[in-house]
Amino acid sequence: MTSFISSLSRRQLFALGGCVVVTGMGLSACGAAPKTPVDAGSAVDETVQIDAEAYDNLIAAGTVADEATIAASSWAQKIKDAGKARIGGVDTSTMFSLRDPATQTIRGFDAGLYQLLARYILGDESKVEFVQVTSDTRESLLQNDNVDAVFATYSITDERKKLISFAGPYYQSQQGILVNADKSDIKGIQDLAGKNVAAQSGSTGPSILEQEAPEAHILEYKTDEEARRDLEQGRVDAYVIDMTMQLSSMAKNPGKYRIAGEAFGPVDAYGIGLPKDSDGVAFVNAWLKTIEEDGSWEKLWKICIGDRSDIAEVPTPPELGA
Amino acid sequence: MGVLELLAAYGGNYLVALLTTWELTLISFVLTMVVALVVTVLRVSPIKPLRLLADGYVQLFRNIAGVSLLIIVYYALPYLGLTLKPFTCVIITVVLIVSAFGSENFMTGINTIGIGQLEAARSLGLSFTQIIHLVVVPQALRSTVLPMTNLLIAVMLTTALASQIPLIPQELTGLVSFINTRSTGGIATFMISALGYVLSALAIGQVGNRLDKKLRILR
Repeated sequence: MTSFISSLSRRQLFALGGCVVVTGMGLSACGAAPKTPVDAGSAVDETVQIDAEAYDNLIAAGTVADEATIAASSWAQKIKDAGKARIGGVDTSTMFSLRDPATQTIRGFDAGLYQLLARYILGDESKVEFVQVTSDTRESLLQNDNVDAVFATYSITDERKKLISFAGPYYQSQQGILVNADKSDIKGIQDLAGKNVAAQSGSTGPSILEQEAPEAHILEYKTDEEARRDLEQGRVDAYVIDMTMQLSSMAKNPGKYRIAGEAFGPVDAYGIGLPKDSDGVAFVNAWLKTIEEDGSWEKLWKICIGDRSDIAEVPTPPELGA
Repeated sequence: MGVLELLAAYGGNYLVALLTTWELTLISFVLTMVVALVVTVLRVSPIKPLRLLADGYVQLFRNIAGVSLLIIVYYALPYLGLTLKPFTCVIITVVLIVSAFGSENFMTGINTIGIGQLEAARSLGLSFTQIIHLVVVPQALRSTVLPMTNLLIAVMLTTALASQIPLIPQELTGLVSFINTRSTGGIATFMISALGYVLSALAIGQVGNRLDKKLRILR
């Protein structure tokens, strides 16, 4: 049942829900009335798609480590012996990790990195056992040895470092404020006082908001999609999350939103979650250095993020060493 | 963070969350019993369209996953012009789903009543309303104390759905993500909340057993 639900897009689910509710109320059935009050199902997907061919070529060209490099790390050797890398990730992030419903392949900046890593260790980018994670379960999955590594736009924090270890950072971002395109009363962080502001639970957003905009009413949502749904419905006035996420929403919905004011808050460095004190940290950091130097990191960034949100300037990868 | 540290830092939040869970449970359960009773009476009523409608209700809501129904109620109803508060959405969802199961419990209770009793009631000239009110419901209620105790526990566990929408203040499950968002507690955060459910369920179970011993009809 769960897999059935997740294979439906949220949008289809809403349309389906609309049918059930409308039918349940005995008003009219969806099939009989094509123009139901639910217009969510008729919206066309305008997302700026990823260049799948360029992406696949880039991953397939990734380097493979020699035996000695892998033998030097017990973490990598364990993956090599198992013949597969168990990776925790998400499959709903447009820029970082998105499942293509037609082919079931996952592509994005995070996905590209772990596929490159799987190729580096195992010589085959397809030998990944994907484990779905949420912001609440990432540490537990690593602590219980259910996954070898977590690639999930995973912010490095001191609290998390007490439970797990991080390799990287491999990317960094700050918080951005998203509002509806037609809304002009919010121009920056100072205008959030007294407003209902959405944030995603499990992200660093709520804590940063509590510090930077203490007078805002914070509502926590499980997913980005749900937070934006309530932004559109007016239950919240603004939505604060990582700028990268906001850019992906804008790429998905051209013309619907705008970014209010400058990015704010502490620099958010994304790391690769690894089991506590694993020697995989050194191994993954050495590999990150390789792909940053040979240009794969830059190419991957362009394909997954830059080309799709109209940002020409490639950022410099953050200094390694979490 | 360990269990003690979590309790020191968030003990107050856990208490509020436990009370919120109880509040949601209590309100939902009362409404569930009312809805289940009405639906069940319709299911045994002499009017066929009403029987069909009530049967349809049970089949529909018994077979919907709670999370999807909550998402429909919270995120899809606004498209029909109905924007409800998170608290209300949780109650509606829980009541719709659990009352379908509750109605099945009542049906079981009704089925334990011998057909002879109903025939006797009819020959005495009692109307349908009187039969339901005087003969069926009192017996059905008394013989469904245990299943309804289970149902109350099910209601409490189902209120955990509230963690999926921005309910303020959070109930026990929602509080886990609130805490894990602010200070990483790992599994311990879940365990404290789980303990809240387990202890509540044990208490409910005890009360249910005593009530059942007192009310059960010995046959």
